[in-house]
Amino acid sequence: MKDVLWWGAVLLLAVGGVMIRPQAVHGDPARGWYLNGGLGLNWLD
Amino acid sequence: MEPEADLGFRVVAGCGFRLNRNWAIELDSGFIRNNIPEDFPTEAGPMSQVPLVFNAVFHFANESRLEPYLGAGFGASVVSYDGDTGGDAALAFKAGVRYGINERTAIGVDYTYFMLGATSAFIGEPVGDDTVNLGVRWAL
Repeated sequence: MKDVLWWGAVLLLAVGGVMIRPQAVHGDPARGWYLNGGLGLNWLD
Repeated sequence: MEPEADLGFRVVAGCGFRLNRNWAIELDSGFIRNNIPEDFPTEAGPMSQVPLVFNAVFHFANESRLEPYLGAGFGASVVSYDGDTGGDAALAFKAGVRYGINERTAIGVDYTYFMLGATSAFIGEPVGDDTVNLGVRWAL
């Protein structure tokens, strides 16, 4: 299970990197900085 | 997966940059507090973490105010556990949805899976941490 999660993360980051590049060059009105804040409950597994 | 009897909490603080309608990169930090139960392979007791995780996030942009997203990332966490403090690698996955209140503010809920000890450098065994968060996003 954890191997699958590892490779899933690597794949998502790789695909994301490829898709981001050409669009970032041309710019986009959605671009910009933001802040995140939050509270949550968690448990261990 | 069933929640353990000892629920912990997580405070999330982070920043991000939206690259286009779909993709964003984020740096997440905050504070996580748990109790490791007796039936875990590692020593039981309280564990506190201050993670720093770099995420790539894909937003399913659409015409409505509701926007689902998926993210994955990696980083490190400073851990205080079993009377000692150290650092270890961390891996994170998240899925959530946000509701845009106005152009600059959105509220939402997400599920995050945070795996500490991916390299087992500090904690003897990798420890998975599931979190359900309520969050706010402010565009700058």
